[in-house]
Amino acid sequence: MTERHTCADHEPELSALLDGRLSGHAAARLRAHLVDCPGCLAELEGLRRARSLLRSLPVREVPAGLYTSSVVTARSTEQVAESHASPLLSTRRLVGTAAVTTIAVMVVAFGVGGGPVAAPTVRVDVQTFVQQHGSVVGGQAIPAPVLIAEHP
Amino acid sequence: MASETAESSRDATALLQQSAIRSAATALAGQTLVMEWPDGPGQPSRTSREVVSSSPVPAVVTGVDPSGKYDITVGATEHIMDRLCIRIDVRLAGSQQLREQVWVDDLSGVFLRRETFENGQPSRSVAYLSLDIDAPGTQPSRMDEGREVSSPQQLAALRSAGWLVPAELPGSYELRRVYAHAGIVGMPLQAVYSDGLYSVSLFIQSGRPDLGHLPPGAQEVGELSDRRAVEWSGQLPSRMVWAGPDQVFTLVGDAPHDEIITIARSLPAADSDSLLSRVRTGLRRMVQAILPG
Repeated sequence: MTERHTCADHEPELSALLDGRLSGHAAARLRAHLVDCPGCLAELEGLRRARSLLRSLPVREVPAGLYTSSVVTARSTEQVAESHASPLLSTRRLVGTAAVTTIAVMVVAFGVGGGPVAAPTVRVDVQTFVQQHGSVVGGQAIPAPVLIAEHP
Repeated sequence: MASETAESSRDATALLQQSAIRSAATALAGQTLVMEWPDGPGQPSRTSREVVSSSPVPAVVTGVDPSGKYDITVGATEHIMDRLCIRIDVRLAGSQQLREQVWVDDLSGVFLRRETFENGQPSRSVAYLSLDIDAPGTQPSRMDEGREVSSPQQLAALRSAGWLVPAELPGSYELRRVYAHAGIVGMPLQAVYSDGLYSVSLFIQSGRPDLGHLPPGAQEVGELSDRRAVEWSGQLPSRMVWAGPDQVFTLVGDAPHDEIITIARSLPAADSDSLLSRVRTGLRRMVQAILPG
């Protein structure tokens, strides 16, 4: 049985779709809904414009003195400890950490990038597309005969 | 001399466009035109295929001036089916090679024959071998055109939702109209492009194509090695289908095959299942999750 979704179901998903956080079946279902729903499309356009407005606002610098003195003290302590360590040992540790991190990221990416394909299968009605194309362009540019039917 | 050439080109362009309008007006009368599809110039026509074109009432689509991309000149007058025709020659701007030849019935403006050339060689020929312009015909049924996406804001919203609707396609194809077809399976968007001579529709559906249920005769497109695309050779308009990233693309149009290939190459294809592709896809998804937008 086909699961029916209403505008109320899709409204929470609009922001996620805009941010690229919606994928697979959910994204395909919402995109298809937008084709048929000017209301949700207008809502999405409003979100898009709001996001664009927010991004256009200037970035403010962090005011001086925001950090507490304890944080500054902690950083100073760490710097003293690091300066007493062997340079060779810290370089090896850095390279090793970077290598392990890179391998871990690649493994996670391999897992995230694969798996079962999420997007739904859709039927491609080529013949209807051909007729629709002919219906729209029949009078523009140079008309070309359009295959509407074949007769043996 | 240069001004005379430019004026002659403008006259030929105007003749081509006016003939197109007159020809479309003739089709609007609801007449059924019977034609055969020859193999090409000088070749015996195939009798196994007969195309019946009951021209639907066309939508009014703003024309694109072809003179930016093409040099259009009036050729000789010839006779087709004992009707006096004016031949119009179309070449890519700055090139001597023919791209298209059109024979226009001098009396009615109907396009009686057209030939398409690729690399200077004839690749497609379409002509009416029998024609009765005055015959009464049945009123053709009008296709439901769907809902036109007319406002730039609506189009921007669809694009931000992930619908890929380019503003133009390679080869000077300008976006003319966008339609939303909620009544068609898969609820596609239809983006209509034209370069003034040819027209192409790009149908976009959300999801993966069901390649097991395509019309018979589909063949893989060898020129597109980075994707699995299928087409139906010998059909007009041309049609090609392939999978994009979570979207299905279908190209339909009367552009020459080499331009259809160029257009298809400019559009994305779905990621393959290779190791590198999976890692790349995964990295992209991780970045999107951490840094949305």
